[in-house]
Amino acid sequence: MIESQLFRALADPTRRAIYEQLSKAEMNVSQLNHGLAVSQPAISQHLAVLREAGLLTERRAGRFSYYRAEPSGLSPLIDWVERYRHFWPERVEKLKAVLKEMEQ
Amino acid sequence: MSETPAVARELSLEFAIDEAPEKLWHALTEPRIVEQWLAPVVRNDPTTAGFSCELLATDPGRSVSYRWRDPDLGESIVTFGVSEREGGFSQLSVLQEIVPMPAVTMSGALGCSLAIAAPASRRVLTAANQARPALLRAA
Repeated sequence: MIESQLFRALADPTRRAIYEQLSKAEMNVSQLNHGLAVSQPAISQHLAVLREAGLLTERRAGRFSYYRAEPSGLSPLIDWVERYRHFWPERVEKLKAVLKEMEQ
Repeated sequence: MSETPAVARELSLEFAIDEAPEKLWHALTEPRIVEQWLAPVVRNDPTTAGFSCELLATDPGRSVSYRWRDPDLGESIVTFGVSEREGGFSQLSVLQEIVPMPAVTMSGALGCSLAIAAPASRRVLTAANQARPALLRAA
């Protein structure tokens, strides 16, 4: 279930911050570490979760891995929002019809 | 600007309803009526097929929150807000927030830390009314 993995990955504020950093520039773990008040092992764990969720691409160069945000990883989230943007107006129309039939 | 997220995980919509707030409130909270326009109201019963909602909290007359179960898209929290408009009519707000699923595919150590992820803390959310631009800002 890629959706739940994605939603879970983005539920954490630190991971969202990492994702945002990596959407601006490609970075390795120590570069990320400079901008965040989180230990390097913790960042590595967060990166693993983001990568599992399809939100990152990784490029290896020598001893380092460089990470970049993968925008297409967000598409299930965009689909979610799109679906409900149509869903609620339809349901509210039903609600209005029900309200009309209710006695007050 | 560090408070501005690139990723929206909620949907916020507003509707004008030409009915009295009390009547709207009744339709949002009375299970028999909720079922007519939205979905069955259940109690902690994820086995129900199809859409269902479970009452989580109410601020009487003002807001009611349900756990919303979508058979395809998983769980979210939906909060309906009621306020009064001019002329005795109502304004209905719908706020839907994604709830992360319990960790099932993650390995042990990670799963533990992830399972405590809170349902959407308000501070880090953007209104998703401009959904696409907000979502894609990170891209």
